[in-house]
Amino acid sequence: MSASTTDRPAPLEAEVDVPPTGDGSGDRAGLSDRLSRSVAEHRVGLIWSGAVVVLAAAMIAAGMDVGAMLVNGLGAGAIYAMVALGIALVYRATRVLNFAQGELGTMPAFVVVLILLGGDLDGFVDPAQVSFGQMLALTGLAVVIGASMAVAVNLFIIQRLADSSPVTSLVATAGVALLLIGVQVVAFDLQSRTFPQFFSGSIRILGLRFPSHTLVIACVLAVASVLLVGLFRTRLGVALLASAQDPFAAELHGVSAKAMSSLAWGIAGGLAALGGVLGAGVFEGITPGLMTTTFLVHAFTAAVLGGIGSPAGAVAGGLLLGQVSAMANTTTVGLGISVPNAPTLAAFVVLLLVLGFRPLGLLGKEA
Amino acid sequence: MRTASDEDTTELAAARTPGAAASGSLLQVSGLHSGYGNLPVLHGVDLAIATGQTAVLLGLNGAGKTTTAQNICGSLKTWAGHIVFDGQDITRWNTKRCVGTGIVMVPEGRRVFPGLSVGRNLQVGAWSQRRDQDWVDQQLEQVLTYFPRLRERLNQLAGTLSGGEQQMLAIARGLMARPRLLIIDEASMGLAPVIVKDVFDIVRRINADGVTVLMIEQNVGALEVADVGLVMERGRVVRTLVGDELRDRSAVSEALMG
Repeated sequence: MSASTTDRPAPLEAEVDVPPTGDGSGDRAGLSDRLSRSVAEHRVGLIWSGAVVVLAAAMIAAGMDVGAMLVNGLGAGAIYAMVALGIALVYRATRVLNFAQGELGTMPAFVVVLILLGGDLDGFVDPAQVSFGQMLALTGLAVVIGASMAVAVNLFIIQRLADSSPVTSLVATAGVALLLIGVQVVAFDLQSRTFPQFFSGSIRILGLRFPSHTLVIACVLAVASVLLVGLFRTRLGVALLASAQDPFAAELHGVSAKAMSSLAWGIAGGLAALGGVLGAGVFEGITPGLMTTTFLVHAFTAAVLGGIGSPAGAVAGGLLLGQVSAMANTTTVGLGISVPNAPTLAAFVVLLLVLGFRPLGLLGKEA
Repeated sequence: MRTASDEDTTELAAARTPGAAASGSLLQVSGLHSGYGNLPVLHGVDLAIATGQTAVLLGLNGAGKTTTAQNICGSLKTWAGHIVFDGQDITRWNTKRCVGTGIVMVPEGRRVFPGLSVGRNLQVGAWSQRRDQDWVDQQLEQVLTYFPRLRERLNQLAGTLSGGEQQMLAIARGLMARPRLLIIDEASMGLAPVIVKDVFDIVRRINADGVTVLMIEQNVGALEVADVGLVMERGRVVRTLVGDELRDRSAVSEALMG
């Protein structure tokens, strides 16, 4: 502590801008400062956003339905974001790329189907017969199942592989995904089954037609994000972050690395289950491996786009990727060009651009 | 506050009188064997630290100092032997239990949480005491009195601190866990001599306020704050230095270099 007297601030100043518990109440003072700094840091992203706005204007001029595009992009993007958020949390806490993140969602969604069918696998779920309350209860159950499965994967597989190379863990999670898909195929056959939404129909807001289900997805994502931000401000959330940064040092203070990684996996599993129930709702149907085949690649792209390991980046990346995919779809259809699977193609192009020009992602930090 | 610490100091003075070490032993390690994987490192470590003492564990690289510390704080499995803390056999305890009973280690290389603010680092330090928020608030005040520099930097990310400040933060974080025995692993490593002196001064103050300290050092300068010096060599404590021996550099170097 060789504090020279010259650079020490006046005592009064120190009193003012240093709250005793460091609970973040002093953050507000430097908001504009932080804003300008983050603008400087993310100027590449801002340039891209500007380019997107110009592109959108051109599309409107060409008579394309940009409103519908934004709505479609939001629905898909919010699911990408939800799955990507789970991937980011798990990566941050255990440095594992979780390829089972999709199936940790499909599986609970299939349990929901099983319950709705009353165990009769030859039956058929009539979405009109499923009440909101019932749907809410089943979603809650799905979240519990997803979280439990994720915690089990962490405790019985990931923690046991803690000393091995990250690739081993990655392959193990891919194995879990394949196993879960196998279980689904055996139990439910390779056929599509109807899946209910919370609300059907659509609502007009600001002249845009929003499917009710899209709004539900967006709200769930918003609530989940707010809860997570809140968690990271609590003592538990801070311990989780600390354990993710240095498990050994955290253990020396009694923070169990096993418990903290399980917490991260549990939250990710809950998010996966929400993604599964809402993702199946998008198609109003479910097939084995649904989340892996339709959302996982986009979610990984979103997580990389946002900066792998950054929860805020995952949400931003997911929403952005949703818009890119929707834009690819609208432009190709609008211009009458036939590009097979344009949205996925666009996602891969984005992934390659990010890896080529900004491998850290939009909000990623130096490792 | 003042009277309390004065009382502590008198108690400590009593504990330091000759003979007290045997009866008032806070930590007693006997016949400790341990290692990594199949590789044995410790071959029967014996040591005792009395309540209120500052002990310094000296030795060259690979002598087994850190391995011994990791056994004491429960982060490494003990193969054979016994560790008794305050009359309890803690040989098989895990880190969490050891922290709960007051054995806290400040790890080698500081290991602060770089992406968290100084305040958050201290908050994580107090994790084991989270049910006693009043004590945590009081202790935070106390710790920030020891380290005024940290008070100025409560909202700064720990990763942006200088090496000396990070070492201070690591010790401060350890103090937030309510240690009865504070183990500080290689505090002086990589620090400028003037900062090392500051660190040793702080250790002296912490000890005067009633915390028993075990410092792990390669820097013989640490002996200036020590009540007892333990010299390790090839997995054993080969020499115990007390009294005048601690100030006698030639005796120390002879013990260290064999």
